[in-house]
Amino acid sequence: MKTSAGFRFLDTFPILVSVFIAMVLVVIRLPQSLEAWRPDWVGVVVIAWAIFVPRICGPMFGMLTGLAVDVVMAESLGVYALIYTLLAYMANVINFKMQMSTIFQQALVVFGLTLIARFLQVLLVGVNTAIFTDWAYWAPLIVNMIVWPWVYFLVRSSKLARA
Amino acid sequence: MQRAMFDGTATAASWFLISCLTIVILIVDRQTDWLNEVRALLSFPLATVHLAAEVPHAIYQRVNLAFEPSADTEAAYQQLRAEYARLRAESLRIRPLERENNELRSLLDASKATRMETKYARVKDISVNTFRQQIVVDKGLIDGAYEGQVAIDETGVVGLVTEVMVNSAQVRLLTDGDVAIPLMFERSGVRTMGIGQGGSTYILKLPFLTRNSDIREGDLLVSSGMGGRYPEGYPVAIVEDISESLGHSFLEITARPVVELDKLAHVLLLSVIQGIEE
Repeated sequence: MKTSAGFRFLDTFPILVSVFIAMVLVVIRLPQSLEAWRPDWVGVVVIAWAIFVPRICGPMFGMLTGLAVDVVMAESLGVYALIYTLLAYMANVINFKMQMSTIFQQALVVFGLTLIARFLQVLLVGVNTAIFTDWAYWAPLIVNMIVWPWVYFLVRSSKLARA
Repeated sequence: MQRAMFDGTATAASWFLISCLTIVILIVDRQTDWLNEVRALLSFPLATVHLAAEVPHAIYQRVNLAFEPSADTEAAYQQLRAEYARLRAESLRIRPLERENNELRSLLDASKATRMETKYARVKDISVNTFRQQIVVDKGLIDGAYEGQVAIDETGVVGLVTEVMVNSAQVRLLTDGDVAIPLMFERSGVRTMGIGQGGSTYILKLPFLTRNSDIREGDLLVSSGMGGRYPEGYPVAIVEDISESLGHSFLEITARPVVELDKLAHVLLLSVIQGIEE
């Protein structure tokens, strides 16, 4: 089976697997002290695929991934869907620039995207007074930058990204 | 050359449409329960995510068990522990019931008794982050867990079941930022609300008490039963700090839950069978 973009359906397998692994990493048990340092794995993976395979991983991909995360995280349907739709779209738009940039510049962009995603999340989940005084709220900005190179190299090494 | 043709304008429209669709889904899911079936359907395949996330911990426990006494001792111990927790939880209600009984004795009206059924559930996962404080327990649809069920342990109230999956359920802790619980001071009988503070702290705030309220530090707060969600008389929290600030007519009161929410190993899910006349 060929999709309109000329990809065989089976080729999307790495995407599904990576999103699944990211979701597992989001819910996996961590010691309480490390909880704040958990990256937004799914967000980073969505950004990476949207940069390398924009023809498949556009806003619709972001939405479907987000709906799955909503169910997994027991959030209202649509919260993560909206966030990842936006992330995928923004990553799509800047995909050329990102592919030309150094890994450090990319990490800075990931910082910016995560910041936007976090604000949107606060807006959707509801502003709680504790969030802005809690340093843990800002931790994923840093952690997402740290995990970005690894996700980036994994995604880039897939056959899809080289196609 | 497909990639070169990609200019972003085509997807701006599709992004806009998809975002609108998502916002509609969001509003519909918040305002109605039409999407509950969709969610339940999706949760079947997605239960594998939680199963996979369990694997490392399961291995860790298996390795730990290898150094423990033999398996049937362990099983018997677990069974006794479950039974012990159930009994402790049942005895929690005795104290307020005694007082209530004394009051009722002077009246001749018959009281409505509520019967509780408890179900022992192991805590599979604790996820406390900036947005949510919740735990995952190992009882789900197939065990008869339902949304809105109250979770307690042998010391007091833990939280509410907010999401039921096939073989697990999510319990929102009572200190979550979106949770409020009707409370009563056991000593003085003053009624108020406890508001969860969320974040990484396990505290409740009691924002609706004035300076002339009869409260002291160390007072025990029990669930008042108002609103009908939480059954009456279960210990919830202990008043930790009372402070007043000039210019505010309300006190700033902090209460700490009696349950050690960060060390939960099991909970009991309550099912209330209401309105049984004695």
